[in-house]
Amino acid sequence: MILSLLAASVILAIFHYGDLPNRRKNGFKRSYFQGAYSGWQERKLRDTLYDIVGVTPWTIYISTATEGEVLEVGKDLKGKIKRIRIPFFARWYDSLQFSSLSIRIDSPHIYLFAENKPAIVKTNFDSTSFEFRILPPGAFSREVMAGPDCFILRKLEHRLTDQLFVRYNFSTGLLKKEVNISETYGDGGIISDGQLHFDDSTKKLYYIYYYKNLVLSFDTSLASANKFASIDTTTSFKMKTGLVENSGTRAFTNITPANIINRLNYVQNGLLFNMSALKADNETDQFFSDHSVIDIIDLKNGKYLRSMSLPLSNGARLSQFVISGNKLVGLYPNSIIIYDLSLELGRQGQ
Amino acid sequence: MKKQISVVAIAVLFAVVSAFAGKVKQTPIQWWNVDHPFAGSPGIYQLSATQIKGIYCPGNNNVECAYLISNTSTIIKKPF
Repeated sequence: MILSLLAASVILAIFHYGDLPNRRKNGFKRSYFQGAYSGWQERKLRDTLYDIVGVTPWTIYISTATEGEVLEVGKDLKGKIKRIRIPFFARWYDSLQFSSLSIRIDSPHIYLFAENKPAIVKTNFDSTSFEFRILPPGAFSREVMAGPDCFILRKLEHRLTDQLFVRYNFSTGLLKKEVNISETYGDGGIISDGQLHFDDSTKKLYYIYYYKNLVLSFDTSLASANKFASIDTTTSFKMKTGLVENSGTRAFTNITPANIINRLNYVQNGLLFNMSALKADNETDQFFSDHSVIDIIDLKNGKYLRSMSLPLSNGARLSQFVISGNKLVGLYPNSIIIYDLSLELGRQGQ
Repeated sequence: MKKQISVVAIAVLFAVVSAFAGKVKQTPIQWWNVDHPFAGSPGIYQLSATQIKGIYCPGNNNVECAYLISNTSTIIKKPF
């Protein structure tokens, strides 16, 4: 009982006195697009939805809480939803159950990224084709397809105890490492974790850090990177990482709370759509907690255009989104909402 | 009035936490000794496995939570 009270007191003290980002001024302001979207459609589902794993002009593929299952949903959000069992999923799913098997659908192909193996499996919906490649040692944590048979991965470099970007050719098996792109900290890549995107229109890769406002832009030659910032003022990491040990098991992990700055993002046509976890100084707590706020940044020059806000769905913020044409496909825990974006969205702020 | 509400809220929280702690107290807490912190201030940290996995790895993104370096190296991500 005493221990319980003590534990509760510590938790309360952390929340009361802790350096929680949205309990103080964050040092930046937002301006909003008027009429950023003209309409929306919603489809509610009973499934728990995890990730958008593929989008075509007509179809959205969504992974669910059921391991190895993907939903095929028409982009009009009407009609029957097809349930697809991903071939070979069980065989490659990590026995540790830590979601280390990532799925990407580039119809008609399905790619399974066994990140800790490390391996990439290429198959299709009816299991008539199957190719797999074992990669050189070192798990990877992020992956995108940047062209036919061309994958860019964020992969462990044991020499550095950190991760680097590499280009892997699925046909030839050739692997090329980056030159001087990543900042390394020797913690397994935890503090510099982020989201990796490939923008087909600019043929560039973009890496957005979770824990500070850094955005890297580079091409598939992996020779050098341009640096941009998200609109907040978090220029240095607030989180700390460390080496922990227990009964012979050693691990790097974060040893202070992980305050995410850039929660979700997507890049299209050189525009970064970034869902920030930070409230601007000109927003009320109520407004920020009742919306998913997305900042739009022109990555040609790093200029902040404006922001857009999306309402909650059944009390939840966006859990994932992609931009496809002039639509924002938003995923919530139990629904999909497609917003029709204003076609001039990228130019209003210029 | 506000203070009274706060006190009641804290009391309720204590009660909930105590009840929860009572339910799970059969599970032994695994303490992790933390040394050689990278990108942080030096020192010895003691955190429970639950704290590391739960409190310090929040959110519904598949963020990288830990990198296990014993036996085979494994990246652990927080599930969605």
